[in-house]
Amino acid sequence: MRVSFNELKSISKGAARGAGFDWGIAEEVSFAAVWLAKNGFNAADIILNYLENKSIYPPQSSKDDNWKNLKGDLDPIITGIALLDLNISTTIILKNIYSPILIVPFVSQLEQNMSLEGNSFSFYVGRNLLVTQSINLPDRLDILYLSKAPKIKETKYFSISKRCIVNDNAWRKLEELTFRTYAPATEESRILGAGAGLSDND
Amino acid sequence: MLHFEEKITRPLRDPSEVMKLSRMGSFHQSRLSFMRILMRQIRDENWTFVRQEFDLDHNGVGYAVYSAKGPENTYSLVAFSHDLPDEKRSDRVIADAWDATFTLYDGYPSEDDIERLRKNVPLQEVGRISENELCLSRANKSVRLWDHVVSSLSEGRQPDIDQIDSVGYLMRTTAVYGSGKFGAVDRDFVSDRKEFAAPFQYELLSVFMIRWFVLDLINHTAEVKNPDNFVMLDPKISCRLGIGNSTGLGMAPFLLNHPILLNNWILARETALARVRSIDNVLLEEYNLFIKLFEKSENVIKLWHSDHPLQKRKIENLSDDFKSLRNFLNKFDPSISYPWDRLFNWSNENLSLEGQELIVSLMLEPNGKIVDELAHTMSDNSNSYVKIDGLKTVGDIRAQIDQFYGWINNIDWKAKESNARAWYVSQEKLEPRLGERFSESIENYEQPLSPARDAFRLSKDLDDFGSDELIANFLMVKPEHRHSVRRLQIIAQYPYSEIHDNTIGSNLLPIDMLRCKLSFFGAIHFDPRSDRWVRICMFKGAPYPHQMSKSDSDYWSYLDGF
Repeated sequence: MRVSFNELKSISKGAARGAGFDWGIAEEVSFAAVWLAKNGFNAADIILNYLENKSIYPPQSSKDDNWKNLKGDLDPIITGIALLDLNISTTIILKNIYSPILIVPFVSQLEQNMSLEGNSFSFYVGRNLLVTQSINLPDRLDILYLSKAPKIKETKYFSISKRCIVNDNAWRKLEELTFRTYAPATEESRILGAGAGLSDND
Repeated sequence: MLHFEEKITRPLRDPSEVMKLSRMGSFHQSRLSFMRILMRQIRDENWTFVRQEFDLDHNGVGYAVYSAKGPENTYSLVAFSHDLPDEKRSDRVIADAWDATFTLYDGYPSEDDIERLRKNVPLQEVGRISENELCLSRANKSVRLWDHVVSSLSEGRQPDIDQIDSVGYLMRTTAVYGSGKFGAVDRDFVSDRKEFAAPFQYELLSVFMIRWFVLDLINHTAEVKNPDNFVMLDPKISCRLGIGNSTGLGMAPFLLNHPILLNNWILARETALARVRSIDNVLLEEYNLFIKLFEKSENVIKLWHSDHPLQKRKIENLSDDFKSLRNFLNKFDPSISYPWDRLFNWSNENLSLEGQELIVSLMLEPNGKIVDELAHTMSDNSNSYVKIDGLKTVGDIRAQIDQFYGWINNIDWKAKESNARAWYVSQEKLEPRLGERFSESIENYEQPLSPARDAFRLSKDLDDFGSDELIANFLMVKPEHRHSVRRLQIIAQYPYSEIHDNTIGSNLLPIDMLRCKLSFFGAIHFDPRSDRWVRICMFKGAPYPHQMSKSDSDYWSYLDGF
């Protein structure tokens, strides 16, 4: 189905909240969704898979340059947020990261261009731009190196479509998650909640 | 571009004064209102408007297309007119059928487009529009006025002016959706068009053209009723008719959800006020225009009807303000230094909030040459993600809370009445509502629309951390405060971005939030129907699209032609 970016933004925020995240994190999820969609990724599927995975964890410590969690894979949103909050510009090694594409939107907002490298790929991320020929990151990575990139001339690789194409099934599931944030109607709320008051047909 | 900043000798009003809901709920339209901006642009650029199609049957069912051609782009209002049984007519968002439904198409629609829109636009929220459409809207007839006007015209006479004025419109819109809603184009993709530099321009263009369709519809209805004797509505009367609008709680959270946009609106108006107050010598012709519009305003207020006790009292106070003002102005010498500033200071000491804010709007009117350019500062096109500066320390954040949220300490957060309400979205209509926290099961569904309480909670939790700890580390442990820290960092940059009141207190009046927003749209005749929805009138007094000319008055919103 074809949706607007604003629709994707709202549903990602709602779905993240429905999946149990705090509002401020839900805002980050919706930012990541729109960034990925504008850069040509299948954002609805990526976000849905992320929200459905309950076995991912924040970095145990961000005080050294080796980020990991011994309980399991790193949560890419929480990791991405931490990288951005701390304005990382040095080399960081991320061990066992789930859905690594989800850290890319946050890395793109850092003040300096960054290089992301794994065993089989290497690309640059600049402000709001992906500088690469194609990215097809796996669902999880054992290791991801993040480091300051050399000065690069940013080129817009993807031209932004006015529409976001989403998988119907993923969209429906995101709607279901969002629906959890809505209060069931009661007769009282129908009357009071919107403040019916005086006649509305005169 | 004019450079007046260096000449501003009077300060901008403090956010603690401006951003109180009681004052925001007393704002009036001004020349920085979005309808006024739109009308100036259309007039100055000499836009052309054409009725392309009008295919309605004897029951008024069918469709119509109207085009608006500006210097670079053309937009078409596609209108569908329906035969709605009386019992189905409701302004509320829970309605599922309307007298007329509309979309604004980007360009000229093809026959295929019309067919596609015919299958979707009448369904409103349940249908889908596309990136070729800018907005989606609907309207219902005013039962009080519609039949009277149809029967008068069909019998060959003009309707009664008193009845026209007591309602003020033939139809009212009950929603105008833009910004990508229901599949419409995202604002980002059209915000670089010159005609959309100010906020809400395409939504209001749509409403401006709906008013034209309504005029054609009433004439058509009268004609088919009695083709031999009917008369067209006299232009002197049709100009008295605006488009009504019912606005409910769906719009109230907008101001909280768009802090930078809110800042830009208020900052533009406050900057305009400071510029005007800083004028040393006022030309007599400018002062005379002010006096003329002051007189006109009294007429606007006479036509302002509301049965709501709070608004009735405010209108009564405003009428008293007029008497005081008249006495003051009779003795006022506009040749003194800084006359606008004198007037402003006097009004602050002597008038109600309604009166004070009316004076602010009126003072801007003769000063278009230093006010109008601010229209271009009122959008928020950055659309940028506001990242958190996590390298700030807990101590920094504490200091910012003290600086920007000091007022929240005047609220007793332990008291039930300070937490009495909760904003939530209902499953039934997916619209924001306001509930009673302690008597309804809604708290688990609460929306983040209580920034004051949340800032208070943040400040309490910060107490458990050392001043030198990075806020990034605090947020890793306390992610529930992430939205509040982001908001605080926005507010630190944008002085008018936060409402300085408790938005979940027992005495909250959501209509104040609606009034603020609608005054920036350019609405008049605010008529609250409860504490949480309001009726207004739009484009009353304006020329119709097909009648516009370069010589049209800029002061139509003061019902200049009446």
